Amino acid sequence: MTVLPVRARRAPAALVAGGTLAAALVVLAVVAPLLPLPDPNAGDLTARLLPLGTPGHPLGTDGQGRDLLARLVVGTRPSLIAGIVPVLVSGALGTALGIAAGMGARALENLIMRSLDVLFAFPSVLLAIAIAASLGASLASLVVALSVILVPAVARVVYAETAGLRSLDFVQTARASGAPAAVIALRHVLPNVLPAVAVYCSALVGLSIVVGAGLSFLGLGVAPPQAEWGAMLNDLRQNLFSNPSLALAPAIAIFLASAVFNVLGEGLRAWFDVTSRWSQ
Amino acid sequence: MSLLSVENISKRYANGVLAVDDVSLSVAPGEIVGIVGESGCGKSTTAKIILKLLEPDRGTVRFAGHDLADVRGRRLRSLRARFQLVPQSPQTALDPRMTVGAAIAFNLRVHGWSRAKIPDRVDEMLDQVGIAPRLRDRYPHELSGGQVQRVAIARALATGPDLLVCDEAVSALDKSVQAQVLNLLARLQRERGIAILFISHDLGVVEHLCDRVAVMYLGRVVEEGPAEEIWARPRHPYTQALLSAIPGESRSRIVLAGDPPDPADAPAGCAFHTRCPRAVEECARRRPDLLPLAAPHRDACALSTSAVPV
Amino acid sequence: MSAPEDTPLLEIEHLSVTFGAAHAVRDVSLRLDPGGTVVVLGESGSGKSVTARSVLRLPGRRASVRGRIRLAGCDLFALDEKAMRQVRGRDIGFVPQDPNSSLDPLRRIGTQVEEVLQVHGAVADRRARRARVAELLALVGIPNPARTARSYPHELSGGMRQRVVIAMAVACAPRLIIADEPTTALDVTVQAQVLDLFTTLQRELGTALLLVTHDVGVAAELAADVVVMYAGRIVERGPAAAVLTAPAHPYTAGLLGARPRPGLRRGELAAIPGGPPPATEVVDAACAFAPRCGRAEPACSATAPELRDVGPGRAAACLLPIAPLQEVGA
Repeated sequence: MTVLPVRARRAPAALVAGGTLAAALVVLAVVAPLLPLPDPNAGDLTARLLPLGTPGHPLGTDGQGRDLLARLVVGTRPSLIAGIVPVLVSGALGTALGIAAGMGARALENLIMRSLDVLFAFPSVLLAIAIAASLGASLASLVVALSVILVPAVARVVYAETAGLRSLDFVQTARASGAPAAVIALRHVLPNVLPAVAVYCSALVGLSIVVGAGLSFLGLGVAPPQAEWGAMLNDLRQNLFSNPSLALAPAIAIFLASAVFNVLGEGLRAWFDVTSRWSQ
Repeated sequence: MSLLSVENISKRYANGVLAVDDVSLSVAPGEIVGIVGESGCGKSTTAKIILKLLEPDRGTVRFAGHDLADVRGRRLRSLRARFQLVPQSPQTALDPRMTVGAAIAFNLRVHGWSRAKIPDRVDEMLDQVGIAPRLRDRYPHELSGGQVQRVAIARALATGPDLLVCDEAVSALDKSVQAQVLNLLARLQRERGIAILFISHDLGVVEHLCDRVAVMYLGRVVEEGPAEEIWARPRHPYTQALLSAIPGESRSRIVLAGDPPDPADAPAGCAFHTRCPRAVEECARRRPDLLPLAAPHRDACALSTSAVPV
Repeated sequence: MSAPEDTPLLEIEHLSVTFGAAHAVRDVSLRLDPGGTVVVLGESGSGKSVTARSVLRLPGRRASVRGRIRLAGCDLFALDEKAMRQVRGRDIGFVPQDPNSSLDPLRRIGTQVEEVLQVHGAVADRRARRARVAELLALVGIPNPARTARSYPHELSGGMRQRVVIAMAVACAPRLIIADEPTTALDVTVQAQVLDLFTTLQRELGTALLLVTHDVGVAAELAADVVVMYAGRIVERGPAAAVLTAPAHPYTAGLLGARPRPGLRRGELAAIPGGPPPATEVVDAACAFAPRCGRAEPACSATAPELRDVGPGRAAACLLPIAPLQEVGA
């Protein structure tokens, strides 16, 4: 065998790049209030809609004269929260449900999967809108809404993986040796399902950021004057035809953050693939 | 008393396939019994029923005198320590995310071994199967197929079983590696008196390793008896055809008509009559019993005669 | 074997295939005459499959290939990909191991056989093509060819699927069939039928056969010339009957001795200790089998043995071949 031991593998480029950039974003979100930027909520009506490259306002100002760079940087935190927290919550919940459905008795499997089917039947974005609207516009309700719509997707992926694992020899052997189902789920199924979950969830972060931004754009996320990328797009909407370049900043921020997490997901996939697969 | 006694078990799957049809067999303490047959014959399903991974529709499985249908929960688990499974594929026999030592330790933990005693037991088991104990921290993909199968055997031995159920445990290995593992199994039986139920499609291996053999076709046992006997003097036409088909063997080839029938649509009467070169009218009507009843070598054929000369 | 003055159909000359640091095939040369049969015998990792696939110029991803392969005198490595694609299927038929994955599960088998004919322009007219498909299916022993042609792969048994794959391989009447472990995934009774089929097809079509297997019995059954491979090299070659009853190379003897045979006492299989060296270990200056060989002497670890004649039509790559040639089991 010429494969290196699991522990000593060199990390794939995508993992290093994605991980570093994602960490950088998180750091940015945390230190944002400490940075020497103009007050993101301080509007100067005499300095409205200044274009890109204006001295003192490199990304320009919005309709209320607020510095866009400052708003962009400060808006990183709520935007990332909207992206990461729902994925963590739905990841944990979806994994638990998926494994329970995959390992449990037929009745439990049906109960879980059919309930999720009902959730799945709703167009997810509309469902998120409905939940956020009924809970009142705030970052918290945004997170709840996004978590709800992501759970069925994660649970389905986990269920499929679990079903595949169930018939493998090492699981059958554990059953034949009398290991309780819960123990098998925890020690055999969960570690083998986590790679797929991790990869899938990294991709979901990008999606969650985008959908969260969309809901904020509709006014269902953070309340004004809080800066958040989607809300910023909403604010600049009225000026889309007269000053289109101003809207580029938040749009590109959303796109880049989503891309970073997708790269991280790709890196995780490459990382898990080699260590878990048989190689000759 | 038999260690394992299987009486008239039958199992029909939800899709209508009668995978196991009135199968009986027994394993005495320290005996090596083989079940041989081609795909679809029901040998794997029989193994799963014996291991209580599946429930039979009818029939009884008795281990060390206990009827497995009556044993549950903690009692069942402690009984399971005495019959262990060695599975087929080196690719999936071990959890790819657990080290070799952890895999064996897991089995010990399930059966209540204290954490203090486990590491020594793990090393002892690895040594028993010819694997250097320092390999205990390796992952399955770092080992060869033969080594993985040995670890699977070590895991099964850890709980001190009286019976090993080997479900095609050497079929996926290269022949030279297969030989090493077969020697290991033989040694374990000789030194520790462990009984083995050896399921395989390879008649040559089964004849070599086993004391007695049961030949299965379409869910039924069509012949059983001492391994040497069946190899030298097969009685049932299917066994004869099976032996003659082994490539490189010097027996004259008996060509079977057509392909094995769809298990969901088994023929009436004798399951084999549609392909049997010696079938007569009666074969389509009456299902033959395994006869003679009390003899060590029995077969289920209406026309049972002495074997075709080898 | 054919008379020496015939042009060989297939000549593999000093073939070496590496995948990065792994040497899968090292300096392999072999010859196959028109209508002849050669069985390449070896265990996993011996390089036998890569050798066979290299003839089709499909050795695998990231393979680096050196050497020369000639089919009826034509250098296959000199052809461009387009020309090679025409060779595949038309001049060389390929039968892979797993009938379950070699057929497209979503298309009827008749269509798949027809596709081979279409791609190589063998039969222009559609009706004539359909008729030819039925002919081919009948040739490989499929009952009710016209009706079976309309079936999907999952409706057929493993043996039938393999026959369909063989039909595709012989569709354009190739001069050479390469079969990579064609019977390994089949039940033994079906195996026997498929081996018979190969023999019949060879007889009727005059096709040569290069068959790769790990099963000694298959080699014996086809009674062909056998080439034994170990760690990427050829260690022995000769007529199967001779090599498999009185092997000259200790590895071949070990392989034969490791088979369970009636009469051998349980637990006393002559297993070869240890395992084959990993492909990344370069053993150009020694015999790759020496560490496991019961007959090895110091010289064996110092010099790489060349293939030398050890009898009529037989050669072995061993400094101390087994001689006089003794029977090793039946």
